[in-house]
Amino acid sequence: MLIVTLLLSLTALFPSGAQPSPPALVQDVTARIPQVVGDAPRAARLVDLNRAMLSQEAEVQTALAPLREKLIALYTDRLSTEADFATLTSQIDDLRSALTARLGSERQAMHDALSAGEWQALYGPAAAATTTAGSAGK
Amino acid sequence: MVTEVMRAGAGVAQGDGRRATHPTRRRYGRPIGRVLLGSAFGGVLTVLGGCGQRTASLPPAPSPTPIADFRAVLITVVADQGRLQQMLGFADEAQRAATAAQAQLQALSSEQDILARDYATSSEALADVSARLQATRAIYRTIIIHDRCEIAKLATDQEWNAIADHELGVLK
Repeated sequence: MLIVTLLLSLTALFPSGAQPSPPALVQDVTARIPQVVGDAPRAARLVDLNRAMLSQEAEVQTALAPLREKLIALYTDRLSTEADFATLTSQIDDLRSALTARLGSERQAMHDALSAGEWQALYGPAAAATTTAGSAGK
Repeated sequence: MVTEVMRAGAGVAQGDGRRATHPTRRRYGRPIGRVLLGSAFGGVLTVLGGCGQRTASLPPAPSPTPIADFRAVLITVVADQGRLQQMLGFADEAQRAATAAQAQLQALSSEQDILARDYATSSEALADVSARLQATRAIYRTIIIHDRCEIAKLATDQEWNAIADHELGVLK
C-alpha cells in the first residue's frame, strides 16, 4: 500500500490550511455573528467578511481538485519524475500561498472589527467546539 | 474531467517516443482518480484541500500494516534480490518519513489552531508557525517523492503494474 502511504503523506505534506491566516477562522460563523455582535450594521459587515473567507476557500478547493487528480495520475505513471512532482506541488503551493495572503488580510480585518470578548465568543475554545461539531459533516 | 486528465496523462513513454495507455489504467477502464477520491480517502483528501478547523484533524499516522503489506507485494513481484533490497530500503525510508511527517505536522497544526483562536496572537506568530509547517512539509515531501521515484526506476514495467494493481485493488 505504498500508494496509500504516499497519498497520505503527500496530502499531509501539502499546505493543509490557510497560512498564516488561522484555520480556526475559516469556518462558518455567520449565524452566530448577529448573536455576538449587537450592532446590526457592523454585524452585517462581519457576516459579509466571513462569507468572503468561506467563498475564497471554496474557490481554492475547486482549483485544487484537478491538481489532486494530476497527483494521482503522476503516481501511477511509472515514468513520472521528481521534477514532474515538483512542478505539480509548486502549483499547489502557489494556490495555497495566494489563499494565505488573502485570508491573512481578512483575518486581520476580522480581528480589528471585533472586541476581545466578541472574538472569544466566535472563535474561542467553547465556540470552537460548537462550530466544529456543527460542521463535522461538511 | 477525471477521465480527460487520465487520458491526457496516462501514457507511459515507449521506446519510440510514443505514449501508450498505462496497462493498469486500461485494465481498470475507469477514472482512477475517482476511485482514489472515494470515501476511503475522503478524510485524507479533505486534508489535501482542507482549510479551517479540518487542518487540525490530520489523518492518523500510518499504521505498520500498510508498509508490511507493501513489502510483501515487493517480495512477491520482484525476483531480483539486489533490486528488491534496494526497493525495500526506499519503501522503508518513505514510511519513516511519512510517519515522522504526520507526527510533526499534527503538532504544528494543533499549535497553529490554538494560536489562531487566541485574540492576542500576532500576525508574526502566525506567520512563524506557518513557515514551520511549510518547511516541514517540503522536507518530508521531497523525501517521499524521491523514494517513490527510486522504486519506480528500479521496477520493470511488469513489476510496476503488479504493484499498481495491488495498490489500486486495495483502494477499490
